Amino acid sequence: MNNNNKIFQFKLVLLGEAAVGKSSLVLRFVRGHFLDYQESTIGAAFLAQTVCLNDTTVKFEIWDTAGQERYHTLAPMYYRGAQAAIVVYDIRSEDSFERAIKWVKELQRQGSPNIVIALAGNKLDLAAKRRVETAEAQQYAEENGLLFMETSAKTSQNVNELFVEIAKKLPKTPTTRPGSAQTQSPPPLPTSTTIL
Amino acid sequence: MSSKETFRKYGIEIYIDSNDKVILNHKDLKLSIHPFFFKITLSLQSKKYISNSNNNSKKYQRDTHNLIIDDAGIAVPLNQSIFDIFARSRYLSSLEHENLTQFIQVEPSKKHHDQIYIISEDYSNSLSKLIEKQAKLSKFITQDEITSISYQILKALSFLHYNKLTHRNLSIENIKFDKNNIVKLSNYGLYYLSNNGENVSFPIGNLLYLSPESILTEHKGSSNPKSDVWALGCILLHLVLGFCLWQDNNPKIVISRILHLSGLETSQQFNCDTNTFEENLEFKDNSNNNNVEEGDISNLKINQLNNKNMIKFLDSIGKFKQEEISGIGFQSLDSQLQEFIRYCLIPNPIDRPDSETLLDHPFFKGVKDSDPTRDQWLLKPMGKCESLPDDLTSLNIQDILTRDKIKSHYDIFSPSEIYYLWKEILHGDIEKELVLQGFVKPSPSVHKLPLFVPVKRSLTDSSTNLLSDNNIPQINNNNNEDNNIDTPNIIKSKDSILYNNDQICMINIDQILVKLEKSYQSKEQLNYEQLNGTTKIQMETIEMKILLLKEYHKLLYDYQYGDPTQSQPQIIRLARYSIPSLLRGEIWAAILGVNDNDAKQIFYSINLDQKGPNDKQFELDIPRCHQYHPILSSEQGHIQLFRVLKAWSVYNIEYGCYWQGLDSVCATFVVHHFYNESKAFASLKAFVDKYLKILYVPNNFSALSEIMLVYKQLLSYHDPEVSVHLNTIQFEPDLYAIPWFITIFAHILPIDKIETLWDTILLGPSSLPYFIAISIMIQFRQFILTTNSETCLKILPKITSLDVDVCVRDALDKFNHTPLSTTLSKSVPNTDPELWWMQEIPIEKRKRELFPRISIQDLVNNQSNSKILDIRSPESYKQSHYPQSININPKQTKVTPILEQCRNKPIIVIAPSTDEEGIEFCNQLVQWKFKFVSLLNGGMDSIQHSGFDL
Repeated sequence: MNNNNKIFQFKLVLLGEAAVGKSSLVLRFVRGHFLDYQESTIGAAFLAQTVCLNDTTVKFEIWDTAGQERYHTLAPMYYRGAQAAIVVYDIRSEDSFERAIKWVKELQRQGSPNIVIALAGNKLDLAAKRRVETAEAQQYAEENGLLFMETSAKTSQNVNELFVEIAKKLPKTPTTRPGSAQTQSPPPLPTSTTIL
Repeated sequence: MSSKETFRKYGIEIYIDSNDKVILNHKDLKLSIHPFFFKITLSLQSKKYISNSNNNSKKYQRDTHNLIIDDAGIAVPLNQSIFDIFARSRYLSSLEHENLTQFIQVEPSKKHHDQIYIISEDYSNSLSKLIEKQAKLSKFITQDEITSISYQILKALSFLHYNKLTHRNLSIENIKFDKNNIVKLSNYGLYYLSNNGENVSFPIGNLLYLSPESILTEHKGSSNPKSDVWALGCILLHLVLGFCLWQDNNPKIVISRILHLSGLETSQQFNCDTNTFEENLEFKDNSNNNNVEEGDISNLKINQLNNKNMIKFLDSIGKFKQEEISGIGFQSLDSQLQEFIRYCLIPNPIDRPDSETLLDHPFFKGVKDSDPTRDQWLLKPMGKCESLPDDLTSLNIQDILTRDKIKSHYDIFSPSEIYYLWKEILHGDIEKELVLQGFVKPSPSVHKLPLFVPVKRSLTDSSTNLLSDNNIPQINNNNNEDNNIDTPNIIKSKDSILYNNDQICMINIDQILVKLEKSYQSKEQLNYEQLNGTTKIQMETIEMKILLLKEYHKLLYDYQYGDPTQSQPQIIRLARYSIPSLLRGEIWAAILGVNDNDAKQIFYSINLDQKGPNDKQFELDIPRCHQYHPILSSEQGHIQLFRVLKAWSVYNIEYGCYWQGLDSVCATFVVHHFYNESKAFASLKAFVDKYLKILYVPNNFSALSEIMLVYKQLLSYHDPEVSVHLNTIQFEPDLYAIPWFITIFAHILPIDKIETLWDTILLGPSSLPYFIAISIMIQFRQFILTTNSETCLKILPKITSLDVDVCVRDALDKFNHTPLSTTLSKSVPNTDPELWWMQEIPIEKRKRELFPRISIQDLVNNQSNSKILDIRSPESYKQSHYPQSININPKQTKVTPILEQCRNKPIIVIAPSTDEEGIEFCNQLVQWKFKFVSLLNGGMDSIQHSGFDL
C-alpha cells in the first residue's frame, strides 16, 4: 500500500427499524465480531473504520442510531452533515422494508444534498424466512439511485463489500474534507442547538 | 423441658423457657451439596459466542460472567441448559413447605462446565435408615407411624402438585426426618430443574417406585403428578412388608414386574400361590425388537393399564405369614389404610386419585383434625411466587391475595441465609468441601475427562449418551458393568441414578448455628450509633451479619404486616450501612415504598392478554437485554420481563410510554423479584416515578436537554478541566450520556454493578445520578484529557470497567459539596415581572453557561466557606452589597492574585441584573479551571427581595 495516498474522511449514518441489525453490521465491519444478542442502541453509538481503495484511503466515521420509532426525533442530529447513509431492513420483515423506504425519503428530503444512500437487506443468513424479495428491493434501489446489497452481519457476507461500494461512490474531491490520520479535524459532530 | 413458647421452622426449633431464656434446637439441620451433570447442548444458541470470520478462528469473549474455565484452562460458555437451570432454581427456592427440605440454590462448578451443585437444606435421618434401624432391633414400623408419615408426604406432594411440580424422585432415601421426626421430602427439584428430565442425560427417579406411565412415556417431557402418588403407594407397601416385592438385580425384570402388575402382558408374572414373581413362559416377543423390555414400547398405550393384576396381587400379599416379612403386614392394617394403598397403586393414572383428593380420604380424618398447621399448609400453600412455571395465567387472583396473609412469624434464619453466611462470611467452598469429605478425589486433569458410555439402544432418544465421571461417587456403574453396555438407558439407569444414595455431602453449619443461638440468648440488638464507626471489615464478621439480618427481618416484617411509615425510615437508615444480597429485592421494594398487597391488586387487574402497542418492540428488545445473565436469558426470564414491561406500559398508557432502555431498568427488578411479577412491577413503577417520570413520556426532549445541561454545568462545577476539554473537542453530553440518564445506568453496566450503584442511588436524592455521572467522568478523566473526541466516543458510552464502589463514594462526596439549587429545574412558573429571575430562562441562553446558577438560599447557607465575588460597578457595590462579598472588576485578562485566593473554594458570583457580564465572567473562571463556580440567580435583586438588611 502506498503510504502517501490520500485519506478522505466521511460521516456515515445507519438508519432503520429496531433490531434489523444496524449495530451488528457496524460491529462486523469495524471489529469483525458478531453477537447473537446485540444489545439495543440507545441514542446513538459511534465507531470509525477505514477502507482502502486503489489509491485512496477512506475513513468512515460511523453513527449507529437507535432504531425504535420514538428515537426518530433524535435522528436528524445524527444524519445532519452525513455524506453517506446505510438504510437497513430485515429481509424477513416487510414492515422494516416499508420503514427503510420512509428513511430513504426523509434523507432525500432533509439529508445532505449529495448524500450517498445504500439500502441493505440484512439477515441474509435467514433467507429461508425471507419476506422481502431481492428483485423488489433491487428495483426500488435502482429507481431511487441507491446502492443495494443483501448482507449478513452474522456470516459477514457482503458487509465489507457494502462499505467498499459506498467508499467508491463517494466523491473524492478536495471539498470533501480530506485530512490525514495524524492531524485529523474533529468529526463533524452534530450541533445540538435545535433539539438538545 | 417446659417451654413457654416454641417456634419451629426449617428444622430449627426455638424454645423460650419460663425464664425467658432462648434455646435453639437445631442439631440435625444440615445443608447438603448434590453435584450433578447436565446434558451438554452446545449449539449456535449458546449466548455470547463470538465467531471471528477474519481469520476463520473462533474465540470466546473474555467475560467472566458468561464463562467458566474448564480443567485445561479453556474458557467455555455456559450453555442454554444451565441458564435454564438457574432460572428454574429461583422458582424452587421461592417455595416453602413444612414437609420439604428448603431448596437453596444451584451453584455452577468451577471445574466442570457441565456440572452444577444443588444446595439444599437436608437431614441425615431418612426413611431408609429408619427401616434399617428397626430391622436391626427386630421391630416394625407401626401403623400409627405409617399413617403419620403418609399424611405428611401427601401434604408435601399436594403442595408440590399445587405449584405445578412433580417430585418424580420419591424414594425411601429421599424421605428425611428432622430431629422431631417431621417428614422432609428432599431432592424434589431435580425433575423440574432439568425440564422434566430433558436437560440431564440420566433418567430421574428410583426404578422400584417408577409408575407404569412413567416407564411408558420416559423422556417425553411429560410431568405427571400422579406418578408421585404411585411412588407413595409403593413406599407404603415397602414399609408394610419390609421389602419391595418386585426388586431384582436385573432392571429389566423390575420393569417387567411393574408392567405386569399394571395389567400388561410381560415376561414376568406374579404367582399368587407362592407370592413370588416368576418368568412368564407363555409370553412371547411379538417380534425381535418389539417386546416390552427391549425398546419399542410405543405401541403400549397407557390406556391399556388396568387394575386386574394389581387387585390379585394386593389380595395375595395379605396371605404372607408374619415370619416371611419384616413389617406389620398388609392384612394387619386398618381397612381404610389398605384401601388408601389400593388407591395409590391403581395402575391407570386416569383412575388413580390425585394427592389432594387422597388427603380427604377418611383414613386421615383423625390425624388431620389434630394438625395445627392444617389450614396453613394444606388449604393454602404458601409459595411466594405468583406466576407458575407452566401456565402463567390460570391462577385465581383472590387465592394469590389471601395465601400470603397468614404467615406466622418468628425470626428464624432460613437455610438460604445460613448458606449465605457460610459462603460469604466463612468463605465456604463447595468443591473444597467435596474433596475434604472424600466425595471427590483430586486427580490429574487427564483423568477427569468424562467417560462416554455408548448406548446401543435407547427407549426413546437414540442420541442420548450416558455421561459419567469417575470422580462423582453417585454415578456408580459397579455391579452391572456388562449389562450396562447393552441395555437401553432406562434399564441400566438403576445404578446410575444420582439421587438415591444415602451418602450425601453435608456442609457443617454448627459454627453458624452456635453463633445464632448466642445471638438469640444475648438478645443483642443492632446498635445504630455503633454502626457509624464501623468499618467495612468489621461489618463482615459473622456476629455483625447475624445482627444485621435479624434487624432486617424485624424491619421487613413490620414493613409488610405492621406500620410501614414507622419501619421504612429505619430500613432506609440501615440500608445506608449494608444491604445483604439475599434481601436486596425486598429492601429495595421497601425503600421505594412498595406495598405488597397494593402491588398485587394493581398488577393482577391489568389485562395482559390484550394486544398492546409495544408488544412488537418488547419482542425485539427482550431477547437482547442483558443476555449474559442466566435469569434474563432463560425462557422464564423473557416471559416475566415481557409481562412486567407490558404491565407497566398498559398501566401508564395515558401519560407514560416505552422507550428502549426501560427494558434494562425493568430487567434489574425482574432479576430481584423473579417469580414475583407484581413486586417487580410495583418496584419498577415506583422507581420510574421517582427518577424517570419525565423521560418515559411521548416527548421527552425538553426534559432530556434539561438533564444534559444540568449535568454539563455540574461537571464544570466539579471538574472544570474535563468540562472545558470536552467543550473544546465539541463533545457534548448528548453524544454519550443519554443511555446513562434514561436508564439510570442500567443499560451500560452489568447487573452486579447496577446492584451496587442502585443500592446508593435508591437511598439518595433523585439528583444523585448527576453526581454518579460526574464521578464516572472523573474516574476516566486521565483518559478523557489525553484523547480526542473520536476515542472518547468509542469508550465513554460503555464503561463496564467502572469501579462502582469508588464511583459511589465519590458521587456522595460531590453531592454533599454541591448547593441544592444547582440541580433544581429553573422553570418555576412565575410571571411577576418584579421577580424576573424567577422566570424561566430559555434553554438556549442557559446552554452558553458552563456553570450552574444557585438560589439566594444556597448563598446564605454556603456563605461561610464561599468566596462571594460582586462584579457590579464599584458605585453600586458601595451603595449596598452582600456581607463579606468582594468587589471585583469582571474584565480580567488573567488570573489575578485576588482570584487565585479563591481557587478550590466555592465561588458565588453576584452580577448586575442584565446577567450578560455574569455569564461571561463565570465562563472565564471555568476556562481558567476554577472549580465550584456558580452564579447567583437574580443577583442583587434577589438578595433585596429576600429582605436582607444590607
